[in-house]
Amino acid sequence: MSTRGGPAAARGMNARFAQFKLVLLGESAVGKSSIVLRFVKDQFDSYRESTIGAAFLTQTISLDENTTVKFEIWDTAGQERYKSLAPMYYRNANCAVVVYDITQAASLDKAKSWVKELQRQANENIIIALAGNKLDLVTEQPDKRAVPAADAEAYANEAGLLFFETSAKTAENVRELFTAIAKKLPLDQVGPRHSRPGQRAGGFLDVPMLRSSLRSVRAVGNAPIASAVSRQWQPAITSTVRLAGRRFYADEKRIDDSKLPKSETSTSVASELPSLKTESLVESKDVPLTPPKPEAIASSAATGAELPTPPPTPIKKKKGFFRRLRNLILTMMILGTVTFGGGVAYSRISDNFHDFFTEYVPFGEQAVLYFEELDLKKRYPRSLPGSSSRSKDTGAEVKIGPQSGASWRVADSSEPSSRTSSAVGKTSSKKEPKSKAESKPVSEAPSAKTSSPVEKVVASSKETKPAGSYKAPEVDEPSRFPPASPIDPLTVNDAEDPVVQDLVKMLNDIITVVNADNADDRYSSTIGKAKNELNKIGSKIRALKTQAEEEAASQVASRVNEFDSAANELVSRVEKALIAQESAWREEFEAEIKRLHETYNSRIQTEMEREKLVNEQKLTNKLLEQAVQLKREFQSEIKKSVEAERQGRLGRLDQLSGAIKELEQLTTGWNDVVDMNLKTQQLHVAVEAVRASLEDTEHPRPFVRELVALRSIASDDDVVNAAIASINPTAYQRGISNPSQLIDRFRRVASEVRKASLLPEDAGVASHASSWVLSKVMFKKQGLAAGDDVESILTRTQTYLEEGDLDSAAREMNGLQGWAKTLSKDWLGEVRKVLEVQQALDVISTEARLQSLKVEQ
Amino acid sequence: MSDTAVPRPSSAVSRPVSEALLNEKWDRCLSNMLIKSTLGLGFGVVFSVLLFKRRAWPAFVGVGFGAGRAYEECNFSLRQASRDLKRTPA
Repeated sequence: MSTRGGPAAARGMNARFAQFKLVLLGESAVGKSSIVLRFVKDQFDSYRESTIGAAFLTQTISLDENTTVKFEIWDTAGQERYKSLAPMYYRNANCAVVVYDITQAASLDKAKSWVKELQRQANENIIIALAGNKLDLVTEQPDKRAVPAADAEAYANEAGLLFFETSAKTAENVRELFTAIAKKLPLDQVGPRHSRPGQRAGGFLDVPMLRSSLRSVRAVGNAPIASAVSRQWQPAITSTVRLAGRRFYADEKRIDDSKLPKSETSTSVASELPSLKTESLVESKDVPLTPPKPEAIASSAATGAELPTPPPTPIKKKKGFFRRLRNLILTMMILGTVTFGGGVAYSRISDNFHDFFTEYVPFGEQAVLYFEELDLKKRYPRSLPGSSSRSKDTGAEVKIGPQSGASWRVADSSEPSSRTSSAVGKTSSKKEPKSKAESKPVSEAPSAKTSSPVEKVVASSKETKPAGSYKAPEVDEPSRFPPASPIDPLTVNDAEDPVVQDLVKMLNDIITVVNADNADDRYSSTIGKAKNELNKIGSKIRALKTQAEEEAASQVASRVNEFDSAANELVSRVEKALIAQESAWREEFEAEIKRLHETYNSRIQTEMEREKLVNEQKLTNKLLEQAVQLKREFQSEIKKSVEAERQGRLGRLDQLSGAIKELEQLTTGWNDVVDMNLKTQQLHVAVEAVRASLEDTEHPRPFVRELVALRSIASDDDVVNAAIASINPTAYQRGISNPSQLIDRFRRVASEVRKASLLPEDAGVASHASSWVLSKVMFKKQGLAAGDDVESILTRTQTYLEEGDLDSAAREMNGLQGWAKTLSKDWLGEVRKVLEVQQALDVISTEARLQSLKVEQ
Repeated sequence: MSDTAVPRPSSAVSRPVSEALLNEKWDRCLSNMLIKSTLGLGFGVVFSVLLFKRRAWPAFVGVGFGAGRAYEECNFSLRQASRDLKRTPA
């Protein structure tokens, strides 16, 4: 940074850095944000969301080697609803880009309005650039263009704006736009950014210059000089003074930035700014890029010092407070009165408002009434006095009004001159009786129409009293006739009838009135007539009454007679009916009694019958019991007699059986001899049968049947049984082979045995094979060959077999060993069975022979 | 009771006649030999075809293995039988 030390300061002479606030304005969707995005990030987004409020971005560009410009870009939202926010952003802006859409003519109008607003509201020396965006669309399709470039340019020149047609999409002219703005900005005044003075365009003081000036300020230590040194206004100076002694970094100036606008707007100092600024601007032109010398600054300060310092604010404030208070009260009062007046006026027009106003606004009712009254007065000037009093108390007003208008008296009193005397007389005479007649009977209320009864009474009493004692001379009107003798009031003796009484009263009233009016002579004849008529009416009524009474009496008498006759008739009828009923009841009663008798009799009869039946049953039962008892007795007697008889006969039977037994014993001795004979005979036959079955068979056959027969014959012979038991069961079950079969089998066995004759102990395949081979070539032996080898044993056995000596053959074969013995085992078993059977049969046959010998003995 | 039918077949099935014992063993041995040597031959042929480029010797070796195995089994069974014979009489 250029603010550092000596060498840095030296460098700072050349390197300039400026920072500007730039604001983008324009209608929505013209591409403000896109332009910024293109400029700052070199990007483009086809579908960009509309900006909300505003967006803040910064971009630094370097104009040349020494100059860098930093843009603080406020990208505002174009939508109408954010329009009110725009001043916030373009305030203090050094430069503004007003964007419009070259494909939409309306957007240029909007842009124009923005330019106008900026020129009016924003900084005076704000640099405005007009940018027609969306150039790319037009280059693609030239017919899309809605704003000719020439028009826009002409406008821009006219308004003193920079003009570019840009395209955020293709980046055309975007950078050029900002570069042009940067170039146009008062870079000459550019100083270090921290020294940027408030809302002003980029600070124009170079750092060293400012610092030196500030140092001098500090050295002097008073404010006026400080203010003179810079063209800035006070708060800025204080801040710069504060900052002067410190190092300055990029971010610090922000604090000032945020503060300054406030002070500018709120205080009166702001008003003085333009002059300051203009001066400074003028000055700034002269200022070279290199820092000016202190003398120059001093001179500029001197010019600045001429400016009047702002008057002390606290005093103003106090004054202002009182004045304001006064003003406030005044305005409030004025407003209040105006409102009140307006309310009154409006309530005259609108009924609804009238109600509201009179009800809720204090004094509203009075005021309105007052004005109404005035109005009324204006309209009806005659009723001025009365109405004025009326307006105050409304309650009394109601009563008086009708009376004054309608009653005869008031008419009399209020308009005396306008009426003729005759007319007065007429009216008064006409009305007098009426009112009197009305006033007398209170019950005659319906006839009272116009006025309230109280008043009438008052009026009548007023009137009647003077009328009674009154004589003509006092009245104005001349009476033609002297007052005649007053007509006598009517007295009807037979006026009991209320109608008549009423009539009489009326007539009397009339008479009194006439008397009072002194018009007796005029009315006497008519009244007399009336009296006569009245009397007549009275008599007539009386006659009518009597007639009616008579009629009624006669009627009553006839009715009474009728009633009597009817009553008599009724009584006689009732009596008849009673008699008839009585007789009917008696008959019924008798019938009922009869019926009861009958039922009672019948019940008794049934009852008796039942009794009878029961008794009979009982009798029969008793008879039966007796019969049974008799039977039993008879049976027991018979039993006794029979047993006695039987015992006698049984004794004889026993004797007989004993004799028979003796005879049997005698016969059995002979039977035994015969049986024994038979048995021995049968035994012989059976044994022979077994032998036969054994011998004649070609192949083994079971001889179980024969054996069973033998056994049954000699069942009690122990010897035979033992012999049979000694036989192997398999022998008689399967049968045994005969000798020829045995020899046949021996041959087969012998050939097999011979094959295994040479086997050693534990022989394997090889020894078996060799034994088999060698056995073929062995020498044959003959007869009873001596020797212990297998071959000799076999030949011996064969010879024994041929001789028929089974026993020795078996013994020889039994002498074999090893495989030879195993192979001949079955044959041996067979031979043994045959031998056993032969032995058993021999034993049985000898036994049979023995038995037969026994019998013969 | 029927005389012939019932006992005969049972004895014939359950136990061969004693003189046929040896012959039966020989039958068994021969059939075993036949089967084993055929199996060996089969394996030998397969091996000769798959692995030994259709040489003859694998087949012979297979037969030899089969026959040898059969022989050994036969030998064992005969020895076992003779041992049993010795034991049962005692």
